[in-house]
Amino acid sequence: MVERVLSGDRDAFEPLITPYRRPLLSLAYRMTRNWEDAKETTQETFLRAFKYLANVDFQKSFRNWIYQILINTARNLKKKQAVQDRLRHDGLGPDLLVDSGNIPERQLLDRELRSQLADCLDVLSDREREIFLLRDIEGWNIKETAEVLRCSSISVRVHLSAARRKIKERIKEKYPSLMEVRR
Amino acid sequence: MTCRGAKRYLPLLAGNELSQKKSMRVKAHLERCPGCRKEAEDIAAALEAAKGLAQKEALRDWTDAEWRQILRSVMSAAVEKRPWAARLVQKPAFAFGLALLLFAAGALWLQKKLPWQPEERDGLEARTQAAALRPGEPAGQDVSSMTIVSQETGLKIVWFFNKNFEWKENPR
Repeated sequence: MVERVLSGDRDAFEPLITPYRRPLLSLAYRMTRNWEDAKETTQETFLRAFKYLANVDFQKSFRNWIYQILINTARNLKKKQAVQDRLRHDGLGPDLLVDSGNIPERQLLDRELRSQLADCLDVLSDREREIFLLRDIEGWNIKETAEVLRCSSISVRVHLSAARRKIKERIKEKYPSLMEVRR
Repeated sequence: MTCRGAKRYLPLLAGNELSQKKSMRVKAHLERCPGCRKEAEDIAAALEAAKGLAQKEALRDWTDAEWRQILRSVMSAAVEKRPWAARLVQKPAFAFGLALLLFAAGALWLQKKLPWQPEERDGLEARTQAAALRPGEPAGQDVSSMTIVSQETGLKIVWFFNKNFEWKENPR
């Protein structure tokens, strides 16, 4: 598919990236905690992917490559906008979630779930958040996570341990009922 | 294994990321130590809770209109924004030609700078001067010269050598 795009068949780009349209958007949202930033990050990711498609290493995974672009783009955007401060105050922007069919109870539940997860992720450093999201939320293994973040497996383990401890402390402190349900 | 040692590994145990040997050692400690066992259970429960929150968080997808718009903008921007020089350099034939040209230029420059090369400019001057001094002789003849200047009096003596290296003083 990549070769087809490189040989000039631009229409082949859409099927190449379609499997990632939602996962990338979700990850971007969880990294930036802001819908507009997530959309901007994902769009920029696709733009860069198309622009630098010739640099893809065929020995490696295309998925890892495009996720790497997304993470770098999100980092750059974060540097520009100092997103974290803004998110703490007005991160609950409009239409972040699937339309809940105007059912107030469902909307309330969604909002609560979102704010709990956002609250948990807020205690993590940028690196810890990236690693936690890739490993525990996206389900990548340690090696893949290290490859995408361009760090060692040891570094991933260290940050993952720290992230899990912080998440545990936050949930235990603010949402102990969630832990009881899981036992 | 001590409590301190075991606690280091508890977050990784929760994600099943420890080697079998290490995992067994930690689990053996947990069987003996209720405090560490509680800690391990808390981490595992919190991890599951966070995963559960993420699964329930129903993030929306792009709408079809948004998706079409993105594809259009991505392709148009990506193609048009590449400068012509960048596109040219990416062509292998052009890159090879450019490299060859740079190599040739470098070699030429080095040749000019080599210390053992005779100073062509001085030799040319000597030939010109010799031809001017001896108008009877053919202009193309190679003549070498040597100039001696006295530091005390400023007297300047120029010796010219013919092809047999016979010399005669400057007639002036």
